[in-house]
Amino acid sequence: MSSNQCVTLQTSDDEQFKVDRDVANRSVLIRNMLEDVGESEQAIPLPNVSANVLKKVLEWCEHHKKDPEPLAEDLDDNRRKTTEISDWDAKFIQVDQEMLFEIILAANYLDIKPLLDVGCKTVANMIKGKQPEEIRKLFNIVNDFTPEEEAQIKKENEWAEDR
Amino acid sequence: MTGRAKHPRRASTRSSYAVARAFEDEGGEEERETDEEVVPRKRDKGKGRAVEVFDSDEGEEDEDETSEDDASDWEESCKKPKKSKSAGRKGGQGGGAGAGKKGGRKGKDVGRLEVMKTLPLELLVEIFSHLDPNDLLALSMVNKQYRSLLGSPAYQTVWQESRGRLDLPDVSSAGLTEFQYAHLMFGKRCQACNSPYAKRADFGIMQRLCKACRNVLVVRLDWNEASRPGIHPQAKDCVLLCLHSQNDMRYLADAPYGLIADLEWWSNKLWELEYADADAYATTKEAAPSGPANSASSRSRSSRAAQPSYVEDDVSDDSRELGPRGFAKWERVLAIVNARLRLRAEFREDAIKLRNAERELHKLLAERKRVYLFPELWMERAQQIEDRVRAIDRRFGHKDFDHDDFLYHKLVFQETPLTDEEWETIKSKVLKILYNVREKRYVTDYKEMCQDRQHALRRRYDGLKSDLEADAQPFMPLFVDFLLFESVMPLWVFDEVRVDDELWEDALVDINEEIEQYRLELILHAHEIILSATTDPDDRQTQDTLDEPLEATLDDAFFSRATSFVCCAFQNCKKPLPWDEMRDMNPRPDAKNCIGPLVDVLKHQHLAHNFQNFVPNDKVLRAGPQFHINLPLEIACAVSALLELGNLDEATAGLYELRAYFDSVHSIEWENATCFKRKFRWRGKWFDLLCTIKKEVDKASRLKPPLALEPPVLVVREYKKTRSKKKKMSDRLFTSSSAFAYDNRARSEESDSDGSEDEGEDEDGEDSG
Repeated sequence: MSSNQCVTLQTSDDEQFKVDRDVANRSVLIRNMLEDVGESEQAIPLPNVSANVLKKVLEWCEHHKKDPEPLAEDLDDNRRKTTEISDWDAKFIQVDQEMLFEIILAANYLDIKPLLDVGCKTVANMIKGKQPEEIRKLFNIVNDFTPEEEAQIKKENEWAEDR
Repeated sequence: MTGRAKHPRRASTRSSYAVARAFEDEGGEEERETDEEVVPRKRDKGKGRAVEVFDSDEGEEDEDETSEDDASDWEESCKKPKKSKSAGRKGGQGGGAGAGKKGGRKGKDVGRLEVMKTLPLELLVEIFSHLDPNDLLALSMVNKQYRSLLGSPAYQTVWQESRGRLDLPDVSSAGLTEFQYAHLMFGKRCQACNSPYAKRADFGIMQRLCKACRNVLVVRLDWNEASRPGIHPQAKDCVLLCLHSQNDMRYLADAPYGLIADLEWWSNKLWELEYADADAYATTKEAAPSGPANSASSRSRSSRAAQPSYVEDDVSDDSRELGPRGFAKWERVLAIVNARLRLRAEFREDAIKLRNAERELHKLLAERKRVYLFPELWMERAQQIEDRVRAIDRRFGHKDFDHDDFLYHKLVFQETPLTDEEWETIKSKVLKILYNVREKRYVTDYKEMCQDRQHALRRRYDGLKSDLEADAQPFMPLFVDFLLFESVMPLWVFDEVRVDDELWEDALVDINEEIEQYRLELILHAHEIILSATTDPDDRQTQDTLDEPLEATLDDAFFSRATSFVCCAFQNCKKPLPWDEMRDMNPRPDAKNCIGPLVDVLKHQHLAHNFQNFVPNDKVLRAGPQFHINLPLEIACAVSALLELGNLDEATAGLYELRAYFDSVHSIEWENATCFKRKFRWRGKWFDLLCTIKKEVDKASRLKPPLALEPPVLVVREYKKTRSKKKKMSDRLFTSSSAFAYDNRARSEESDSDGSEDEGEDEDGEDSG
């Protein structure tokens, strides 16, 4: 199979994207599909991904198409040790929150581990060092604790000897 | 031979211990009870010796109830701001929308949707797996979903991995939850008062307390039991030990420290068990009377056992011993104590592990925060910005660009070179920073100029002081107060005024007048504080004294009395004087004179506290000239107790009498000392004692909330006497009019003279110790 062969991807809103095979191969889902199906002119349907998100994802895949495949054990050990993101990725992920979460969902669906990592690290970095109220504001989460429950939680967080 | 001045307010101490852990349900509230007890004490003035001793159990119960109420009130008042804050935050959900708008303006669309909720659980966990325990803790307080998610056992691996990344160990003995673990490691606020000054947790007690709260809540456990009457002698073996002393969190403490609340709780529990067992023992004995041979002994045993040991004598020395007193033979108490000792050892091991981990963690976090920059690149950027600013506004000088506020601002403190595009975006901000810097510099420059002009007046002040008569010199205000005189201020406030001899001569008339006024007011002030500290405000006689013409009372005799001693209001002035020269000028043995007759204290202030050459800050400027003397109630009580001990006449005794009497005794002991120094035995011991009390008073007054010490309980020990002399001394004690020189020890002395040798040996042993 030649590496510069094109693959057609069809998004949920019926838009079609033609990409190089090695770009599409960044997604484990697509790679497995292509391996299963073999060569085919048919578009691969991606019902969970919309066009604008796929465009972003493909942009990332395009940039990282030459990256070596990380080893399986490295994946588990290293990726959590650091929350640092490369400069290009950091710029790439500077999108609004909605898009950020869409990218994470798409990366999860398409099984693109490094992209998923970038997305999760970005969200983690947004959360880091923030107080509960700041997190609520950031993600517009409703505080469903009553004041009594809040007091109770604060109490629970403090250790008291069980006598 | 000993004598003792007893204070009625010791009873209140006892009751504050008695409240103990009676209210288990109240959680942390009882911790505050002790200071609730102590604070109002400042209100009841009067001398240390008072009339009644409230010792009955009923009194204690009442005290309990009120302190419980007080404590809950306190708790509520503490929570109020928190509640309102959280309410404010709740309202802030609307604020969330506001934030959304703001974000929208930035194009970031912050918080428009609750997008986090759209993520499946696995992705949430994936995100959480990148977070540190403190972030997880914050998340767990965001809403119920996250709380239950992070609290569920299935997701404990998230916490463990998170801890693993920071090398935080697992601990088992304390049964910490992950929330508690994270809170302990990463929290920043004091768990008792919520102040932000609690950087380190004490893992021995698993609490994060600020210094002020530690001072109040933590006690040293190996102190003599007489100072903690009513506490079960073995309670201290059950209390969890702090890893650190009250004040020094850097090192592990060798001596045992624990929480007062814990101590009280365990004491109550042990007493309860002991009573229950004693009752059970008594009833079984009654139900099954033994043979006639041992009936007498069993009766005496049971009757003794049924009686609580502290009812017999609350400060008995032998109450510690196990066998003869009878309480520690109760198996349940022993079992509990042994179990606690074992648990405590385990606990301490884990605590030290945690403490070491915390230190490493702090290093790691600091390392993460550290920014590494090449100084050349940073300076280059600063220079680029400077050039561009100069092109716009030439009024900024080198000092502005050298100011730290400019150089270390995040817009400047970078390695990347400045681009035109970036300059356009940061231009206005940089200019704003520089305007602020310039304004700040103007203010400091003006202040420095003022200080120079103030300093220039020092020579004239010294000249004026030396021209005064020797008697009047101590009453001259300190230089800083002198600067704040209405007649002196115009000489340094205005830039254009140049102080020459002529101007000084003109101003001198007003200045002298004001100095005289200051002297009179100072004497009046001293008189007032002495009276308010040494007399009862409700006493009618006192009112009469106050109404008397002042000239009658303000003679030298009044101020030279021991009861009229005042203190220097500067804190920490027990420190040695800065130069040997100063010591030569003040060669008396009690050279510091920070407590004593008014004139001595004023002289001391001129020697030790008159080095400031300018008005240090705006607060002092606003306050105006001050009188730096005070008389804390505790000192007044201590002086009065000293006089009682020496059988000295309050109306006449002064420095000489105090010195003469206390040089002839072996030592003075401050029984309810709040510091470790409690025995004073060298020359000038009474003065050392007063200085130590003053230091402790200063310390307590700096706490939040400020506390008052208990009135000092003092015991004097005389030199060892031969047997016949001893008897004479005890006779002297009994004939003395002082009611509180008669104490338990004196009583034991009496029984000693009846023929028993044991007590006498004990006494000798104590004297030598």
